[in-house]
Amino acid sequence: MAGYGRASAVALLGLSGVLVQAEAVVTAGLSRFSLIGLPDTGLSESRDRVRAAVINSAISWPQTSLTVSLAPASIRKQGSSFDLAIAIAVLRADGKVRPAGLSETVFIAELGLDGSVRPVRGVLPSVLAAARAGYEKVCVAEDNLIEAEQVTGVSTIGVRTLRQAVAYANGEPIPDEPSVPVLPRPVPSPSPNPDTPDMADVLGQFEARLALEVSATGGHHLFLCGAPGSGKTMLAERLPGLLPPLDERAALEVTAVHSLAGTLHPAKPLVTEPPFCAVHHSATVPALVGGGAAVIRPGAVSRAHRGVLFLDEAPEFGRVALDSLREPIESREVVIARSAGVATFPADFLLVAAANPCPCGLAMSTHGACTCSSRSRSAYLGRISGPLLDRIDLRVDVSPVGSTELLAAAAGGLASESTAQVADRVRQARDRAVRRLRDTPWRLNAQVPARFLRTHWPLGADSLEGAEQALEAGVLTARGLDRVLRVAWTLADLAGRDRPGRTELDTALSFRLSTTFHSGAFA
Amino acid sequence: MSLFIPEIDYDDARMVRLMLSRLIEPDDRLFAALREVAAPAEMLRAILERGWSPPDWPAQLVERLEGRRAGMELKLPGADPMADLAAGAAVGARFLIPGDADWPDSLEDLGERAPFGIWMIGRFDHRAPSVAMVGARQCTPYGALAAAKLASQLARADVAIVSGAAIGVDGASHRGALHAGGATVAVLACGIDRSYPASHTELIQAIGQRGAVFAELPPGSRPTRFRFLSRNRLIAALGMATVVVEAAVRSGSLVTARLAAELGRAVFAVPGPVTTRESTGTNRLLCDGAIPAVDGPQVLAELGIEESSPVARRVEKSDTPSAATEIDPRAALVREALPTARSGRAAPVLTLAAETGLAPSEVLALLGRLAGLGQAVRTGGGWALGR
Repeated sequence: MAGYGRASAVALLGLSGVLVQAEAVVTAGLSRFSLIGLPDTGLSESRDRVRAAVINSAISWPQTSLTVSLAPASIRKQGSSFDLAIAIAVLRADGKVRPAGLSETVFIAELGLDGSVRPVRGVLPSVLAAARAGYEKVCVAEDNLIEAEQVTGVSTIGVRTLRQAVAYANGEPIPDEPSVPVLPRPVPSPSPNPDTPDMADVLGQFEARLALEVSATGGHHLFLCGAPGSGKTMLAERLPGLLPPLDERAALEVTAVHSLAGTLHPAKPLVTEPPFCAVHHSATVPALVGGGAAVIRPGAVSRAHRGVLFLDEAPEFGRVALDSLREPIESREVVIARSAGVATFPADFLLVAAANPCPCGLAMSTHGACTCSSRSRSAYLGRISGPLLDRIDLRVDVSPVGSTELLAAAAGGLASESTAQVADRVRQARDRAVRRLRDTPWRLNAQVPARFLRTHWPLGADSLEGAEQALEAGVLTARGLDRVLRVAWTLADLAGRDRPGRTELDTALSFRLSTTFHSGAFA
Repeated sequence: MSLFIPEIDYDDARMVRLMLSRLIEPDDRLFAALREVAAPAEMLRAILERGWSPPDWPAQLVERLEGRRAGMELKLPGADPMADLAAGAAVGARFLIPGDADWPDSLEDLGERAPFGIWMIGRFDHRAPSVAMVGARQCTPYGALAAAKLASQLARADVAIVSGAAIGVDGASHRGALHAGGATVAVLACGIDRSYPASHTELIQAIGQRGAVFAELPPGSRPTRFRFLSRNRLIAALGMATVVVEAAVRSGSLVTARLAAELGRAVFAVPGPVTTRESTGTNRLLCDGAIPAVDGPQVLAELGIEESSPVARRVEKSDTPSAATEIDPRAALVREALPTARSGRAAPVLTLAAETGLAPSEVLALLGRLAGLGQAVRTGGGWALGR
């Protein structure tokens, strides 16, 4: 067919990709260029980029009527990743590039006006979609190459310029091109820190260290309360290191999310360690759970998938924003419905919420006197809604490390356990839990419904004595008891015991969120 | 008018009393007066045989009996003692009369107002201590909590809780006793084979399995306003004391309390807020000399159950926090090391471990135990004494 050409690309909706054909037809008539097939505004700009890139690559532009259609036309398409496929389709229609053979290549890249090929977000999920659709060859920008290579079973090629892409599509030797001045890419927030924070840096903090270990083992969400400078952030940052490294499937899942969010580090495009995502309290609902009108982007909960979501100054967050976390915590995924379609992002994270004990932060601190009224102090933590607190199993109060501990550490004594030592215990305890839960749909103690725990592994009256007294004294609610039970099982897993005893139950009691806490009566 | 007159053996005390309880409403004043001079068999014969009466009966009472005859004769066609026994047996109930081993002797304290007989499901040791708990059906959460807590503390000391299986305070008292694994007794204002209120069907079943359910009315009887009031005298009699938890000024619970006082039983009232309608009756009782009921050990002490008796010790062990920590000297040690909440200070676990010489993990578990008793709290920087 004369004057017709096509090339493949991928349209992403959330993390799921659909293969799209860019079809181009050159017909006699006035010189014009129309792009059809539900493109959004950003994609319509593609016409200008493609034309400029072709002309600046010293290839002639067809001076006739040109129509490019993105099929299937019913799917809304967004972003700049179709540029390269459109250019190849046009050049094929014009006879400058030979038609697609039997084994087609998928083109995923943006074009610069100078003919350069630029990286885009979401390459990993796009390549995964291509592989799943049976395509074997993918052409991406050179800067996206490492990310694209993470998908097995697909041969990938990275190009710097449109000329290289044309040569590749024609099966010719690829010309060497001067490296394009690297565009300053937005610096991704969770950049892999060269020195990962280690538990050995945490001095003292017996309870907080234990709470981190329990949280990492059983998947229990954590609440840290303490004056500024008591090390809440420092502790939270060390939680991902205690989690087991991501297996291959999890790594691809996490990388795909970060690719779409644009937070992948170019030098280390496969996320293999559990991510840490800290959110500022000004965050909106879309920033937390994901969203966006035209382009649906994953939110913080998905960037923290398989890792840790840290909310510092939790009471300062908007109530609506905090409550939006309830659904992802329950279902471990986020479903975002927009006119363009419904996107699902994974959101299986450990929540660490931190708060000062009062608005000025000085209550219980040794540095100064608190200036808050008792009313504002008790109302402060009450801002976190009860339903969210209901999902948090562990509460720890932290105070700044005492001078004795600092001096002892300076003198070389009092060495704290390292991340590696603790993580090893966590791994063994997790194995125990997985063995015990092997015939159930759950893998972590925090996921197991309390009713199941009670009916399948009932505990002796003597271990429950303390909890019963707490129930009677009205300090513990029935729901609080469920949390205590789950944490006690995790403590038993860590201690290598078959079932929790009195010590585990009592320790779990000490971690419970007090019932008076939410109603505002907070000492 | 031809009358159906069943053949009755007036020497069979059980049959006589079955018939009487079928024909006569509970706590009938006329028959209470007759009982001073007549035996049950004579009363039944006077009802069944027109014109027959023992010569020594006061003429005035015979006259009143004649006036009531028409009403009682209407009930005769439905009076079938054997059918009643079968209906009772179908739900596992027996009909007890004085002299039976299980007959609660405390009912005799009612004198001429004692029931002719009583239907019972389950077991009831009438020689063991028992406390009646009554109160408002429309109680406040405070009333429900107070009732449940007191009932569970008393039940743990092997005191049976007697109440009326109604919603509100009654239900909370039964549940508290059941929760503590103790015995509890429900006295129904309807037939033993019915459950009233219907929403308490399961509760009444549970009471029958773990304690006893009593009913004075024959099987199939429906509850009425007067039957609730007459039932209250049995509750007052079955308990060695009566505790009123929340009652408005005009309330059936106050009737029970007055009856209990007339029977020589101790009357307790749970003090309530002076601002709520539901506590006006109980607070008035307190003004009139009722004993305040604060918690299990206090009520037991007032009842004269010795501190040193095994019963009282068991209550103390599980319910008074100070006693619990005295059991574990290590917990007391940790508590001693805690700063007071008002001091504005808080102690982290490591500091407490250093002060007590215990391992940090041990300190944390002990803190959990103390926190469960409300004796230690997290304060935003560490631990302090609970208030």
